[in-house]
Amino acid sequence: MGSELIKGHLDPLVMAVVEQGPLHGYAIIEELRRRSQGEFDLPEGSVYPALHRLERLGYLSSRWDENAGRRRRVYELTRSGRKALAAKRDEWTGFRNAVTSVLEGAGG
Amino acid sequence: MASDAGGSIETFVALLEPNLVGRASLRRRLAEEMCGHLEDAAEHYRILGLTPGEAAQRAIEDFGPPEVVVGAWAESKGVGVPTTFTRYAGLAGIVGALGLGGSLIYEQMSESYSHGMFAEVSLSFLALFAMSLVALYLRVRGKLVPYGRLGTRVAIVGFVAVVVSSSLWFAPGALVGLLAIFVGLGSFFVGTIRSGVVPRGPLALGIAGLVGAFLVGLVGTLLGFDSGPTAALVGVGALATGWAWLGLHLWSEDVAADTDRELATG
Repeated sequence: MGSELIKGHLDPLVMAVVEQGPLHGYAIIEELRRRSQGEFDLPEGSVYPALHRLERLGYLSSRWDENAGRRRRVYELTRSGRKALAAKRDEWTGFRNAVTSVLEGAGG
Repeated sequence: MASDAGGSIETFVALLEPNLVGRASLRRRLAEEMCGHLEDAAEHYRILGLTPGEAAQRAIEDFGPPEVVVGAWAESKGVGVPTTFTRYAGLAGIVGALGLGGSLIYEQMSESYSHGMFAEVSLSFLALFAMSLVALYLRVRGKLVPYGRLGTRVAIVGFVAVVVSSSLWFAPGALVGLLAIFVGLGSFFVGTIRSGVVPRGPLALGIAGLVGAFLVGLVGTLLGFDSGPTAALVGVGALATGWAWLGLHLWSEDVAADTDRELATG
């Protein structure tokens, strides 16, 4: 799937991945790839702007985590992040249903 | 080999970091995060059997070209994209440019309109002009060549030198400051033209105005007559026309989807 297509939906996708627990950037990418069964193939570096933007909005919090001598920044979904994600899910469901109805000619 | 791999990752991040928009502390944090990411990715490829050098290379390729990462980072901070600020600053630029030009022409025509009055009136228009200059910088920042960025800093230093020197009645300082503004703005405009983000015409007109004013002033100085008013008319006239044109462009741009606002209100 083209990276331009994913770009517009990257923020909620990242929030959905982080919802399961604290993760660092590389693990977030891996999880995005795994859940999309390899469909989401975007430049890995473009995830960091999204992570910082979501942190600035208060939807993610972050801290340094040291493990086996390696320092990694891990991100976690905040309470307002959970609310924003729930709202995005509702919005997406409505949008998906509407697109499906149009494409499949329902109600026509 | 392992150190070669680490070296190529560090080199890649070191090349990327200076081009990221934002405070130095934020850039350092992001650079460290990216370094960690690339090390993890390289380790993944090493486990799959690649040599350390090949693994680091694959990790860097997956990360994306530097310009894509830098562009995405700048966009996330509202830099390099049309925003509500750049639009309204464009409008402010039109008012500032027309006001400044009109004020100068009126000063040349009117007996009662003194240099002092012109300077006072011009200050408010200059503030609007400066606002649109900031907007232009934000709009092109992600694609500005290094000498364009350097020119911006030189112009700012020149402006500070003019203000400080003027308040201390120190003419040489003000002169050097003015020269720095000319050179700095010139480099910034040329860099902006090369960025290809905004139309070239308005900026070319602005450069022509700056160069024209400088040449007319120089000829006057060399031949011993007061060419100041003519130089000002040429410079401000061309710059104001170009700037109003540029302001119109900024004002008419569509504001990019602001993810921050969308999510915050969504």
